Amino acid sequence: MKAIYKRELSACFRSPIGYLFCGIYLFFSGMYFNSVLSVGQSSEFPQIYYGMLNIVLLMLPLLTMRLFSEERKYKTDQILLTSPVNITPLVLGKFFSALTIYTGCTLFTLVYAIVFSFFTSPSWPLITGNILGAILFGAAFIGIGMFISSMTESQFVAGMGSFSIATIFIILDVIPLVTSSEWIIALVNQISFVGRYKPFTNGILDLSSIIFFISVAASFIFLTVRVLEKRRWS
Amino acid sequence: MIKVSHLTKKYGATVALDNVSFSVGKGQIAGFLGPNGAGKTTAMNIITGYLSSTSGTVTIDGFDILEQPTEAKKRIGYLPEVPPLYPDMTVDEYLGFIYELKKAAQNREGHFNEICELTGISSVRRRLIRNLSKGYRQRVGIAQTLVGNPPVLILDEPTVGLDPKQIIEVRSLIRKLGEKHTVIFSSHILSEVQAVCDRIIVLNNGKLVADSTADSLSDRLTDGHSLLIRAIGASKEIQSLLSSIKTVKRSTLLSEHDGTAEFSVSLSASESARRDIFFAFASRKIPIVEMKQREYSLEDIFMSLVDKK
Repeated sequence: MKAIYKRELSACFRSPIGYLFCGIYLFFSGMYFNSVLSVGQSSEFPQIYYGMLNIVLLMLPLLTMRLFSEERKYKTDQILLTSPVNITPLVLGKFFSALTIYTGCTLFTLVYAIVFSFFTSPSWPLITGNILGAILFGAAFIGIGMFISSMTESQFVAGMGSFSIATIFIILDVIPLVTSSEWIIALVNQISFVGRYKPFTNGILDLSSIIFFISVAASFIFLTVRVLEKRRWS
Repeated sequence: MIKVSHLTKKYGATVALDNVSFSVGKGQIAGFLGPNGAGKTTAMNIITGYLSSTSGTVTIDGFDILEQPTEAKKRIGYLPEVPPLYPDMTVDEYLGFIYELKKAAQNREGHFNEICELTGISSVRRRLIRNLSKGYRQRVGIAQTLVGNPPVLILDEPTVGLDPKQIIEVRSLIRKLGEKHTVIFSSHILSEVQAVCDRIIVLNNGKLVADSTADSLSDRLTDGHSLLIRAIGASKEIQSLLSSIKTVKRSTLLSEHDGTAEFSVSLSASESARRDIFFAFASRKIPIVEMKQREYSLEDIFMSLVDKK
């Protein structure tokens, strides 16, 4: 797991993708920070995390699309799958490498908090809650993106697939506004990523949301392992 | 060392491998020979645990590839058809990755020096794999199989796409590797397999058609001794002349143009026959332009093997 984790991390920064991801993330989070402070004249700094969610959803496919598709394209999956390592640690190594880059970007926002603390005292529990929520939110979506990547050898298809799902997640939150059907609203509330994130914006570590994100990530890691195993038998 | 029994692989309705069994002993070099699509790559992918068989078992040094995959895979170095290289890494980084992936226990620097020396890639160790020529990539692919010093090496068409000089180098490398490892390598070139291997395993349409030593296979093919003769003259005249020679069993016209005719001739005894033919032609003043032992192509082998079955 360590070998593949290290390789994935370094590979991401050997190609432009790692820099692109970090660049876009920092650009948008900086913009939010700026608008929250100067335009909004608001002291509610952690709003930026909530605002970043949709952008994160649309950006994460950049990190996940190459995870397994590239291996298949270069046929390097042959060396991975014939080496004396089980499939699960391989998948975990890749998952955590993507999560590490995303977490790195998220933690960078602490710089904003420090800047903020020069002028007023920010609510640290609120910031911690938001960062934790954002990481869990990302982990769940990275799981989904990785799963899609394991099913195709085209990075483009993997990227577009994850991108479409991200778009669906974003649209999902609009549905309750346009329908009065109670069960649809209830269903959307259960599965909406952004909805599940809401408790964190208030600094509440909502157990059901934590479990929701972790179990989504775990299920898709499991499914990825199954996809790779299944390919042997096809 | 490698034991394959009753291996069958089906892709839907297509049968890629049909009840193939063989075993390769310690220190042997075995060649997989067969045309494209014969099932060589499928067989190798199953032996290395990349694919699973529909039925049948593979054991490496007593460890079943499905039951104890980690133990079995530890003992295999595999070079697939397309070398599994990451173009964005340098050779050193790549070998380091494989070293960690395989959890090799050798002294890292010494081990790498030895491998790079053996495969002749010492001079390119700091270069990106993306920028290496095909020959060097193939060698890095072979170097990768040696990391961790596994007793079994499986090489899938290691000489395809190389220039003649590189092919000779890779062949002699494989022969050298055969001194310490059990090697299976595949090829669709008969002479290559003959030059390198102790054992030849011939596959065709997923079936094992022959499994013998290199010498006995070529003996089986050349029995009856066949010559290729090109002479200047009318084909009919040459044909009747050939059939009048006692040691000639059969002659067939292959081609005729610009007054020269080419014949394939089967002989009953090779030693005296060449002389008989020479003098017979000389007495009739028909010049022989070319006379040589007929070389067998892979197609001929299959025809003869399939015919004999």
